[in-house]
Amino acid sequence: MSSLQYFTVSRTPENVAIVSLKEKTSKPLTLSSPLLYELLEIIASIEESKLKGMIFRSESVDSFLTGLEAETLASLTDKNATPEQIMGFVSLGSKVCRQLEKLHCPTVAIIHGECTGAGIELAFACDYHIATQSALTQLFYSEIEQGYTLGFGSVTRLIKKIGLHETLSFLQKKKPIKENLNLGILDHIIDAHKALPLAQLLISNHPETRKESYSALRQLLPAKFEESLSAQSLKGHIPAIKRQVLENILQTWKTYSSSDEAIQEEVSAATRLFHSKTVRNAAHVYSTDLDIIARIPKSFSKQKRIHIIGCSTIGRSLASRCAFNHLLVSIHDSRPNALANCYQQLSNTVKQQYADFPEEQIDILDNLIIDTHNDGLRYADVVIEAIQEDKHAKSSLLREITHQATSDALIFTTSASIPLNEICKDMSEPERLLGLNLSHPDFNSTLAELSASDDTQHDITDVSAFISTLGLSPIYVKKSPGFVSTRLIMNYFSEALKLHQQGMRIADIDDAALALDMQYPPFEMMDIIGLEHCLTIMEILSEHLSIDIPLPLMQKVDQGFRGKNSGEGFYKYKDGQKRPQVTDNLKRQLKKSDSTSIQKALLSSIINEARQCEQDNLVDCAAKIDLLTVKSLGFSLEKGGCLNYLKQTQTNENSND
Amino acid sequence: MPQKPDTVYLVDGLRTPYLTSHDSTHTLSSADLLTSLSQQFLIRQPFLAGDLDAVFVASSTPVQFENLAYTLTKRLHSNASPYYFTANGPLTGNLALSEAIHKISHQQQQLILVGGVDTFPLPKRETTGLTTPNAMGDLLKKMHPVQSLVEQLTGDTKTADTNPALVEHAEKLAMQHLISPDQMSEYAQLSRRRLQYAQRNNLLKMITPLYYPNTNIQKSDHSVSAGLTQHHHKDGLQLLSDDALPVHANAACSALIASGSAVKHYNLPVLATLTAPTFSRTQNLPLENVDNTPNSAVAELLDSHQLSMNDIDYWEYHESSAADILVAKQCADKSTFSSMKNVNIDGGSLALGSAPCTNVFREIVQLAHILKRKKGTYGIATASSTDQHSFAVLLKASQENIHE
Repeated sequence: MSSLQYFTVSRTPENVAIVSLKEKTSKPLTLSSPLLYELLEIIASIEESKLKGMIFRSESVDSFLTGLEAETLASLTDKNATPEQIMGFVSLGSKVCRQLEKLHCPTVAIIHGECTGAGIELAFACDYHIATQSALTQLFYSEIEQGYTLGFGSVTRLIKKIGLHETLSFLQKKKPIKENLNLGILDHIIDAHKALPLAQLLISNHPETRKESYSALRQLLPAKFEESLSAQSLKGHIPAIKRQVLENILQTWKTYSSSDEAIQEEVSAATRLFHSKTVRNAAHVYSTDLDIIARIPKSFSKQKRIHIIGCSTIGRSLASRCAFNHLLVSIHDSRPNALANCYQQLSNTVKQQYADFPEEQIDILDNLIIDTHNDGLRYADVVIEAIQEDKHAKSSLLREITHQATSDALIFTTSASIPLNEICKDMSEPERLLGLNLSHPDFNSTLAELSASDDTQHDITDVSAFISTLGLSPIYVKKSPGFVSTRLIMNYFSEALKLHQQGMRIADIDDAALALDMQYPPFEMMDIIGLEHCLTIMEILSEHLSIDIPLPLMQKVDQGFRGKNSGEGFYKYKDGQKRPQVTDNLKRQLKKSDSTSIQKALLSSIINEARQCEQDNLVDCAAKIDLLTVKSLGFSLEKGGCLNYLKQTQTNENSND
Repeated sequence: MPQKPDTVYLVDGLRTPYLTSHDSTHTLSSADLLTSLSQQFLIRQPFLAGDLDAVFVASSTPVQFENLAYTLTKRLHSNASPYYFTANGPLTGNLALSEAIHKISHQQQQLILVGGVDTFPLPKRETTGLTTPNAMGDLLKKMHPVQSLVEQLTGDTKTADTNPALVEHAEKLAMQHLISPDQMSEYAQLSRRRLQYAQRNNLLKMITPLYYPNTNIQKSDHSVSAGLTQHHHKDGLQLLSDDALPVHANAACSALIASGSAVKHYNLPVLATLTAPTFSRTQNLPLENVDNTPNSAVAELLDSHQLSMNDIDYWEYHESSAADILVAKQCADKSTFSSMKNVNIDGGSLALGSAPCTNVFREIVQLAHILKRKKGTYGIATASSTDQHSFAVLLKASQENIHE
């Protein structure tokens, strides 16, 4: 064997090979062609040596394999990549997995840490699958969110093992590893230090004849029943880019069941997907995100102290992120009940996410300090103002912060709409202020817009390092009211409200938005954010930008409707779930032309605003606007962001001409 | 030549509210209580937990296989040396404080976090003739609101939350020195009034609220006056008043003590200086002949610092019982206070409740704040135990500017 770059191989006294993915740097391990070639070589060598077994694991402390290497993904989704080139890579991976599966000796995969599709593909070619009992261990085929599977055959293998319905369920949503064990995806969950001995035990007790691990119950189920059960699970709103993959899987199963032809079909399907516009569009968005993170040179010291003033939604979200990322954070609010609710919320979230890991729960909760007397301000390294969206209140608070905080402290405001130069004017050092704009936590965006004064004294790399430690990607935005995302979102809302004012039903507008593959329909989104908050932001933005404040929103707020948290906004809610409207059953069939005109109106408003942001040079490239539209606004990933969509539409029109 | 001991500075102190163990909202373990308090305490400081040299913890409620000091250092992510004191008798907290002061004064360490924590399990309730766990107790409270209200008003819980040895000791002192139940009750009421005055006028600056995961918040000390305990009256004799003894309380208190060089290095504001405490034991006398006042410890302390009674502006005298403190006042000629005017002016254990290992830390921090507020110079915190040990520590308010 030539010298190994990606793996270390050792042999136990019992003649079992331990093949370990090397931990290269602090970055997670990713899949590439050279890695696959090396693995192929190792498998061939094990086959030759007639070893008693093979254990496949990772040396990394927190990841198994997490996706494709950035360059590999870029090359597969490049517009000039040919189907043959793509198939070359996919076939290589499929071959590696087939060789692994057919190895003469039993094979065990030990999964510790984050394991996405790349890791699942390789691990599930093994006979046994052990996951470690650790808060870090997660198993989820996240590549499906980007519109593709790797096509190495794991989907067929999973279907063989647990059935179509369970496979689709596993692929659609991340589950706790215990649930994966119950589904039959994993064979064992065990403490990390016991995984290797268990693997060796499994190998030594492996039966002579390898049995098909196909559930007996599955064999009894008629295929039609399984198909209809699985089709049911694809009902409801699933982003188009993901739906395409799942429907491909269903179609493959219908044609080939879980035979060897199905594995070959996986290769073809994956090739088609990589070559498709949708995956290229998605890759355009994700690669921008990866590029942002890759450019952050420094890391932020975990010895720093973060202090947040204000238990607003963003304040609580930031406190939660700090605690989960092991940063010591104190949070202060003048309202003790707000602090108590903040603590309860984080406590419940931690208990839910780490239900089986009490030590991790304690570890995370110990990072959060409820600071009644604002003691944490004086010596904090980072101070974040997160009070309500009120210019005077924020100005006054920031003035006080500048007096009390250390001279080196980073000072952020989380105002989504008030221009930076208006909030900072009462500060003794206005150049210190940094703007930080995050999405509502319910929208799961990992982007953070940052802005700074022109003569800021701060080292931008320090700021970026802090933001990335929170698991967020920082995007620098020129000082402007509403940043980019707030402008886009408010325009979206404003357009939806105008349509409603013209007589369109709220549910019809939301349905049209979903048909447009928007991830969040506008009225539901407003209810989540809060109607009063939306109105406040619109009012502030309307002073600086051409945003109309439609009457329906003002009326709702005047009537006392606040949104989802209060139980009623544009919709009614119970226990956090939208209640069916009485008129749903009386829903008239919306004319196709009405739906199309709604979609057109919504799309135009978003695109026009995005173009304006581009023309105003708010960010340094259009790709970042696309990233913001997808992640913060919920624009269709399939379309690759609104400016990318516009460009492609214009190109198509030109070529048609 | 023995090296002159370094000055020991009391920099800061913080405590949780004193909560009676009747309170079913109390669900924090000792480790959680102490960690939460220490975290809030440390964010006020210009250094991190990693800069501490040592952590001293005293607790009267040991948890099996758990070293609380070690647990605290681990949870604070500190490399400080952990020192844990538990089950060392009634003056365990005082012993911990003494050791910590010794470490600083003998230049072995520079910056020490020292504190105590006491948590008591909920006593058995006899609300319906059943022994009910917390959840059932809460349910019953909801079902019997009147019952619950009666309990709150009268504290009629029939609980055993005072030390029987203390009861006997207090009775003997009362008999020997002819202290009547009325006198004890009068003193206990004085202690409660003082606490209430301090609470109303926001004088207790050293308290930090407790937040629970169920959104309960405890901001201030429980009023023990509503939780009077019933004592077993022997043979129909009532030698003590119903409020003569403090009830058990759940609490934690942390203090930061530092050497001069640490104070200068971190530019720390100083509350007071602390002397090496004095421990004393009156031996070889039958209990009946012993006053068991901390006179001996106080006397030694005053002698060693060439001070007299008149130099002491304020006292924190641990109220192990009303009888104890009244006897101390009676024996005024043996170098202790002759008037209650300057003793426990913000209330004591009879009002707050007693957390055995936390009390001494509360007392020294409270005393330091009193000296600052009242512009006093010297204060003594003192305590005694039923086994004739006594303890005293001298505080001197910080007036010098050590940063010059």
